[in-house]
Amino acid sequence: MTESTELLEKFEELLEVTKLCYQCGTCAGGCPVFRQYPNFNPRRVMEKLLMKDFSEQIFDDQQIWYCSMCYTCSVRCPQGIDVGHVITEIKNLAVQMKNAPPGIVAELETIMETGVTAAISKGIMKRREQLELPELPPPNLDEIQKIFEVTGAEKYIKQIKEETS
Amino acid sequence: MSKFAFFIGCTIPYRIPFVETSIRKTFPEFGIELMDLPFACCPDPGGVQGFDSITWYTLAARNLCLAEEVNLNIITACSGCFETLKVSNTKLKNDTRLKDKVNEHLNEVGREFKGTIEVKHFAEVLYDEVGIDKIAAKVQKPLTGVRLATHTGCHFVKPPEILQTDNPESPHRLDEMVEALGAQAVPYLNKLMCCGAGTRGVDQDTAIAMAHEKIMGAERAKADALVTICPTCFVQYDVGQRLMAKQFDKTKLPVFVYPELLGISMGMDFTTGLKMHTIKVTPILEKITG
Repeated sequence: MTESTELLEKFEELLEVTKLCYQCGTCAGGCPVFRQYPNFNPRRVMEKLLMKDFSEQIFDDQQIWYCSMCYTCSVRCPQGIDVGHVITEIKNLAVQMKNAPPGIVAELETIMETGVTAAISKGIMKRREQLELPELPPPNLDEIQKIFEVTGAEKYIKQIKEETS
Repeated sequence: MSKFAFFIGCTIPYRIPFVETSIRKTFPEFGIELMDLPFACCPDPGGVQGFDSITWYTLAARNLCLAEEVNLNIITACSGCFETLKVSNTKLKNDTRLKDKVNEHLNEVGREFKGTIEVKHFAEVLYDEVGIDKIAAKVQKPLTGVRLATHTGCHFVKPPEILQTDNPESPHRLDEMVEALGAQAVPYLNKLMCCGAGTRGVDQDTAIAMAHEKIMGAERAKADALVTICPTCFVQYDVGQRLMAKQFDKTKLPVFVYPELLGISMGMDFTTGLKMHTIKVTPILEKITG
């Protein structure tokens, strides 16, 4: 299967799942992000999918990354749509279309290079010493980097950085 | 004695290591042995899953393989790690197509996901395997008169059909666990609300405003402190209050991760670690020790 047919197949799957949505807005009502930042509205995301309306560039838009992944929408949807999962799928598709916020790309790069998400500073190592904590066995970075290579994540990171530079 | 592969994650050891101390000191008291393994990032259920789901499953499966090799169930110290590892473990066990795809990638690093172990959150182990009665029996300095706002957080309970830990719309386990220590779990506005950490990668101000709503809810309920079972939520609420002060009126609500309060009530001395909190916890310590 070529990359573009796989993308198309995923996209059709998403539209199929969304069909059940009758735009009641329960997802938006429970969304903790929407309360603070009304530009991110899960009901609107579903609406755009339903109407196949991509004029507002659902996949090019950074708004989708505002989702905090709390799954409140998924738990409450009266139609049983896993809205949070739909949003994750949209993010995945956006990445394949070379779109992700710099903060997310930086996180992926940190994991690829160090195996962990947090920066391991001298200050934190001193704190670990003060607390008499044991040394942690280091992760195998060759394996981590190989996985980034074979899944395509390394390529996506490069593509997005080229696109935005 | 039950033995677990200890999945410490990234946030605890490299941002708030005092939480690691509290877990390493308290858990053996309940007959739980923790074994360190060379785990990498779980990886993050928000950023990495959002970026590329297959990479997320494959990196998670690699961690699961390490525990499978020593034939130990995993105990996670972090709710994000719990979600990533339990969701991956469950889906890989039940979805052959996904498992084949992931194993194809894992084969490149000489590994194979087999599906022979289970993943548990530390709070789940305390509640289900240790039990409220045994927790209560260990208390030497009860937290009498301490009013606590409990924050169960999202990734311990959702998605519920897979995680199966507590009621996502009305969680009660953490309330029972703090009451076992002699404290009072107070009802408060926005108890179910997400800490906002997931939004931090794209907009810090919105993420902090979300955390602020929770702190306000706890303050209005006259809580002495907020207690979580997730290190990421802890960072949002503890370090977060310093950032909140740039947008809102200053607050100074002490924040704890449950094993800290557990250890304190068991009579352990966590002074060195407690001084590393951003928001001073001395007022509540004075209330406990008198």
